[in-house]
Amino acid sequence: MKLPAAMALLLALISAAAQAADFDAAQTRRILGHGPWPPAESADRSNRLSGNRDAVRLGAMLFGEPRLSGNGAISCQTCHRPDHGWSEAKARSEGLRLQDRNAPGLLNVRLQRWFGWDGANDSLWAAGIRPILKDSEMGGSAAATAKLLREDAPLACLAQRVAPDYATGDDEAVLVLAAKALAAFQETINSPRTPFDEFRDALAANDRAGMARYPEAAQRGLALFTGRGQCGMCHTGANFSNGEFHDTGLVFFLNDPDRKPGTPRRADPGRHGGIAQLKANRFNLLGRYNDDASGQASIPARHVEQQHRNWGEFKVPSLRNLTATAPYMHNGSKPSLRDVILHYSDLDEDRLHSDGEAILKPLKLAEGEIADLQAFLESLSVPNDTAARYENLRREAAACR
Amino acid sequence: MRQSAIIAALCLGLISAPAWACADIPAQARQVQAAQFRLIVTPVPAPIPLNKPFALDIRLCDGRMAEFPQLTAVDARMPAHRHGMNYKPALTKIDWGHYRAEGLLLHMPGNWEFSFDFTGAGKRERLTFSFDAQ
Repeated sequence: MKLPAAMALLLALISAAAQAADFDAAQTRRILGHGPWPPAESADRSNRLSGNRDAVRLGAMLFGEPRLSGNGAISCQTCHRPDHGWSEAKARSEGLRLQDRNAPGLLNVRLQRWFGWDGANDSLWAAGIRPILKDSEMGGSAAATAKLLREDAPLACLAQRVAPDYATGDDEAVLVLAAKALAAFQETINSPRTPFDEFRDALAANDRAGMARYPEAAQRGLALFTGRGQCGMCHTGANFSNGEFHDTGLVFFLNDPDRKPGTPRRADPGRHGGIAQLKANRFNLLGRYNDDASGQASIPARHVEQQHRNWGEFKVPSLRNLTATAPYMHNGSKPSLRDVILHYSDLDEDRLHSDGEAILKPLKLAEGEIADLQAFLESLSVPNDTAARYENLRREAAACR
Repeated sequence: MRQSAIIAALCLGLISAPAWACADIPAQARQVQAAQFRLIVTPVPAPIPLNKPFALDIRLCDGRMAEFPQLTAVDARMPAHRHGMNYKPALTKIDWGHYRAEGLLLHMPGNWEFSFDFTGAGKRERLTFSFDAQ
């Protein structure tokens, strides 16, 4: 090795050692807890179609199917756009009417325990039934869905492959079949490894050269994330979300453009309302359509309890592939990642529940820290090919005869 | 010993908790000493996973079974965060001094305080221990 090259290697190792020293033992443990990625795949016990290739094709076909809606013009992908992280650019989505919330992205959705910003559903398949039937979203029906699956040639072909006697079932059973196929497809929308994952694995292997390839700004942002920022208290695990619900001081009153003067503004109850909806929903995992005989999948639904502090709580979103899913928060009120960081930097404590999360404090970040935190968050995003794979699945589905 | 004799002995509080329940304590079990008995709590699965449902096997040891108080509630809270779990555990009595709590879930890392509420002989008692969830 020539001297300059040796010097460069030495400098790189020294630099890596200095960067590694920025993380104490607790931070290192937390960083390792954000991997490995991708996590092991496991089938959804509550859905007998989970992992079934024909069900995945059927689900992909249905995902872009506007005939599921009452007006024949709205499909799942109207709001969950494959080219926008399976979310959309509008702050509040529009189905048949303006919705109260932003469409959540669907990347890695299989890793969630609750579905929707309020967790009103405890399975991915039940979460697919809600927008189909809801008057203000797609305004469809079990009867129309069943008719479509019985009469459309490619859809009927695929449905028969996954459930040979489906056509003799009642309309609601066919609706559930369609929802379970939709879920089987959405389980395949997964994001690839990111620069953070390379750093995390290098840290696990004590590979200092590998660690040094991670940009220094991202490393400083990661130190903030796992240290003073305490972001990792809620954004835990490989998917950077504990899947639960918190009040983070966001406004929960809704700006309704058609509100009549003098009438009170509506509030979004968040998780409080979500639990009530879950308990009242016949498609929850305590109901007859749950395919899990072991009872494991329904544990959260059996034990979740509505509490006063749930009012105004919303689900902790995953941070993976954030750059594709602006705007942010349940109401799309933050146009950029910088706006999200500023929200926590300048947190208005007066807006927080008195019986809510006590560790939430304004971070009062310096300009450089804001940039570092943003660099770290951006390191959790890379381009993905899920939109192209979706189109391939739809082509395969359309060929079913 | 005949059944009637066993019942009589139980009524007199003469029979101690079964030795098998109090020996061979799993490494992941936590023990708390009360005035009248020793509380042994074993998580299932062990160790307690972060952000996943788990159960607790709960045994009262080193005392007379008939004198054991009744376990009425199990809970866990994060004192520094001033909140508890999002889930309400279901408590089942399996035998004298033997319970199972199902449906617990620690959704954040950090220090949690587990509490076990007992009633018996006209008084209430709460036993606690801390656990660092990671």
